[in-house]
Amino acid sequence: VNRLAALQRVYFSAPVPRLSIIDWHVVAAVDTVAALEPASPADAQWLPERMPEVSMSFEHDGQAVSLLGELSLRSVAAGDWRFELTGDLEHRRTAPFRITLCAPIALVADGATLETKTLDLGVDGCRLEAAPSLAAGTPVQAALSLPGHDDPVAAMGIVGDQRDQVAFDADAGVRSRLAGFVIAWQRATWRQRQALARDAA
Amino acid sequence: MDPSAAPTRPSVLVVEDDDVVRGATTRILSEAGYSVAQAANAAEALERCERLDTLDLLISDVVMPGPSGYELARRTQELCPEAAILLMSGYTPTAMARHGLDGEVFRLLAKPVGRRELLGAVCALVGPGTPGEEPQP
Repeated sequence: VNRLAALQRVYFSAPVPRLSIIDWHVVAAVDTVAALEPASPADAQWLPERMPEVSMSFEHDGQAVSLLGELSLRSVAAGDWRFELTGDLEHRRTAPFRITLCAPIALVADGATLETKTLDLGVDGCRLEAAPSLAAGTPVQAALSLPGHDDPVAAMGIVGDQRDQVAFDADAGVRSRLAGFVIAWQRATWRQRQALARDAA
Repeated sequence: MDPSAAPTRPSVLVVEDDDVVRGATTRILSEAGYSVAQAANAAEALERCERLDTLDLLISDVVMPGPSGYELARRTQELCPEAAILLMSGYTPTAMARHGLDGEVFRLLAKPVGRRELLGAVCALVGPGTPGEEPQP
């Protein structure tokens, strides 16, 4: 999954014949999940909502790569298609997947609070607009606000070697919330860009 | 016809760090007849303010790299006291207040902002883009 890039084209071979004729694009890849958008949403409406044991293929450096997993529609209303690895879980994504997002974030360390903003955000951490005046490795308590949400994401973090980076040390609940947000944000951005391209054509 | 007698179109400056949102907002307003300039951040916006002959309306995102939309709005009021201010944000007022991004009374639209809502808010502040015409949904 590390080899997947945002907006990359992927395709499937599966026992479901209709699936293999649809092109898909990756909108986000987090841990064992790749969030996908069909090139033509109308083509995907006839697919079953859950397709186990499918093989997702894509090109990387001129070579074909295939991953075994399950393709499912998590939310019909949101068109939330996701491919989840079920085969070799060691292939889970370890490389950071970041979205460009300017979000207000408060960092508390040693009783002092720094208000700043993110420049990018992922499940693993974020890059800050202003580097905190803290040494690399300093633990911080982060309160990150997300668009559309009253309640902030609260997570422990560590100031990175490059001091404009904070690595989150988040529990499963926070990690899941961040992953859900990153996927939803990328999906909305993808659809917005597609709609604008259609308008311009 | 004397060109100098032609009614002027309201001038609008759109400030937004997301290029997709900025492009869409600019296009909607231009199609509605407004004279639109755009900037990706507050510093760029202030440079444009200084070069514009007139500015009728500043439309700005609140949370963006560099100075916030509120800081930009205050500075714009000093430079162009006649300009109306319209802010937009995807963050809730509660979230923005938590980070000190509030305090002034400006019209605030919640993003995503639809075409009808945007044109309605702009028309209410500076009138229609084409004199005599109301914005079409």
